[in-house]
Parts: sequence; structure tokens; C-alpha cells
Amino acid sequence: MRLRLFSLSLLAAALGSMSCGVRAQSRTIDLGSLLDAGKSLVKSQSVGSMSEEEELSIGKEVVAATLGGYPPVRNPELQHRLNQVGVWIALQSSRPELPWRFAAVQSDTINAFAAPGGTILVTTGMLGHVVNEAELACVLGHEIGHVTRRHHIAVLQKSLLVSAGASALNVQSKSGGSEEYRKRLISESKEIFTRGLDRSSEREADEDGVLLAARAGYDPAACLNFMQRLASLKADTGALAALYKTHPTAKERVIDVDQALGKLKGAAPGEGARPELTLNQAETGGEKQ
Amino acid sequence: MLFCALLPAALAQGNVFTNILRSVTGTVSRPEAPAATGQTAVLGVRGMDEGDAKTSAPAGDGVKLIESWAVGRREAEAAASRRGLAARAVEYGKVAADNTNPQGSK
Repeated sequence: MRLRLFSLSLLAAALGSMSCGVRAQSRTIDLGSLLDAGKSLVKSQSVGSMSEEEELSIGKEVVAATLGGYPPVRNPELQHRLNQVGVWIALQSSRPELPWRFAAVQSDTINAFAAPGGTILVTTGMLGHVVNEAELACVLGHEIGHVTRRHHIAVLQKSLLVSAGASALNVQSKSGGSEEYRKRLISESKEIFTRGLDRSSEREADEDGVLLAARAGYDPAACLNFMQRLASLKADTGALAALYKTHPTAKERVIDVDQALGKLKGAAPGEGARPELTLNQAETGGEKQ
Repeated sequence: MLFCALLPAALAQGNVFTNILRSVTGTVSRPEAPAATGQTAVLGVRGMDEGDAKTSAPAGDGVKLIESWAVGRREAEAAASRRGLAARAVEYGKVAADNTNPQGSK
């Protein structure tokens, strides 16, 4: 029943998109064929079956687009150290073999981004709010969670399913469809950055942040401390106001993180390290990729 | 921008990293300013500024820079070890679908 409702919603959404994206014309539409065509397109080019290589490729382009608005901080020592911490945490995840990349980017906002494929961007505003390496681990762990769970891919899939229905009339042949599909993927990925992910995805990522920080040897309670600090700040109604409509508040996330801490087995809050944040003291030596 | 009105706890502490930020970005508030509560801040661990998203152009150089800062598994493990960190087997009490690697980097 739920699936049927979803299909009907999808069709309605597809038709809604059509009315905007296609010049209004008086013509008869075979609704069944439209839905079938949409399903066929998605099945043939599904992000759900996207290979890791494709995921990396899309992720790279998303990162490039994001860096246009958020240039990386040109401090190799800082960036190198950030990568040491980030990769260490990512190694505790379900996808340790991804080519994980971490970068501090210039932005006053308190934010972090995860691109498909394993590139994590953290704003200088965010880095200015973490007081120790354990808190940084929580932030990075959260973003790593989005990547390992392929949250963005799932949103892309839903989004493309709708747009596939909308463009089904135009996609009778697959010639040139791949490049168009790719462009759409990138465009949609960028959109996700502006819209945010849903509540359940953020909760899962918060849980991953706690878990991965704990596995990496950090005190998981640092995640709660960090979130409480964010909750004590007054949310602005400026440029990111739209984000807050779909993003849980820090106060809600304090509750989520607290509950996650209560479920941990193998590490209790208060157990673990809270190293000083020394991103500028990049350690040298060892393997360099 | 907004950040200029903020004074994160980290900045109040004047830690080494934020000193670097000051020198690098020039956007961080004065270290001697008091820590504030009820600050105005943009926060969230998801979301890109809509204006930035619209105006941003692909930055291929940035991608290359990020690649140049990458570190490998062994280096990350060695750095963690030097920091006194060791991987632990930690799980959630009841999780329907585990998505993480219980063995960590071991």
C-alpha cells in the first residue's frame, strides 16, 4: 500500500515537474507509459546500482563545485594533520578502503560537507568551535557516516526517480542520455547541499559520529559536549535559514547523541582520549600516499 | 561575516590551531575577546549556503590541492599511535543494520 501511494506520489510529482519543465501543450498523455518509461530509465541508470568508481567520479565533481564557493585553506601542515585524524577515524568505518580526503575550507559558517566517495570538507568556522581532537572526531565521524551509508546517493535516487518521470517523454532513446544523466546527478548533488538531508539520515550520522569516535579511542562524550555547545548558540535566520527547515536543531541532536551514548557497548562516556587539537603540528614521517 | 560576531570557545582558549586560523584566514575574532553565550551563529553539519551554491564555479585546482594533502592508512595509524590512540571494539547495544566496521583498522 505504501509502495502504491509512493508510486502515485511519484507520478504526481513527475507530472508536476512536467508542467513546469515542459512547454504547456495540449496533448494526450499515456500515464501508464510515462510511469513505465520513468521506471525503466531509473532501472537502467540507477544510482542504487552505482559503482564505487562512479560514486568517486560524481563525488569529485561535487567537491570541485563546492570548492568554488569554499576555497581550501592553503596551509599544508594543517591539512595534512586534518587528514591524519580523518583517515584514522574513517578506518573504523565500514568503508575503510575508500580514498578518504579531508580538507579545511574557508567559511565563517559552522558547517561540514560530505561528498560521495569520501571527501569531507570542514569549514574554518566549524574548526573554530571544536576545542579538542575528540570533538573533531565526532564532527568528522558524522560526515564519514553520511558517506558510508550513502545518504546522498539515496537522496539522489529519489530525486532522479521523480525527474526521470518528468523527462520520460524526452528519453525515448538512450543516446546521449548518459551525459545528460551525469549532469543531472551533479546538479542534484549540489542541490542536496543546499537542501540538506532528512532527519533520520542526520540521526544515523550522529550515531556514527559517536560510534566512530569511540572506536578510534576518543572519549565519545566529547560528541555531547560539542553538540551542547552548538545548542547554546543562537541560530541565525540568515543565509542558512532554509537549511534549518530540514535540518534538526542542535537541541534535538543533543538528545540523539545522548541516546547514542547510552547504547554504546565497549566504551562508556568519559572513557577515552581528548587530545589537544594540534592541527598545525602535522606529524611527519610514515607512509605518504 | 557572521563569524566575526562569534567567539567560539576554542577561540577564547586561543589554542594553537585557532592561532593558525587567524593567520591563515584573518577572519577569526580577537583572541582577547570574552567567550560569549547566546551567540548568533549559523550552525549545522549539513547544508551549503544557497548563495554560495549558486555562485560557485568548479575549482579543479582545489581538488588537486586536496589530493596533495592526502595521507595513507599506515601514516594515519602511526600518527594515532603517537597520540596514544588505539582502536577499540565498540558497538551499539541494539542496532538493526550495522554500518560500521567493528574491527576498526586492526
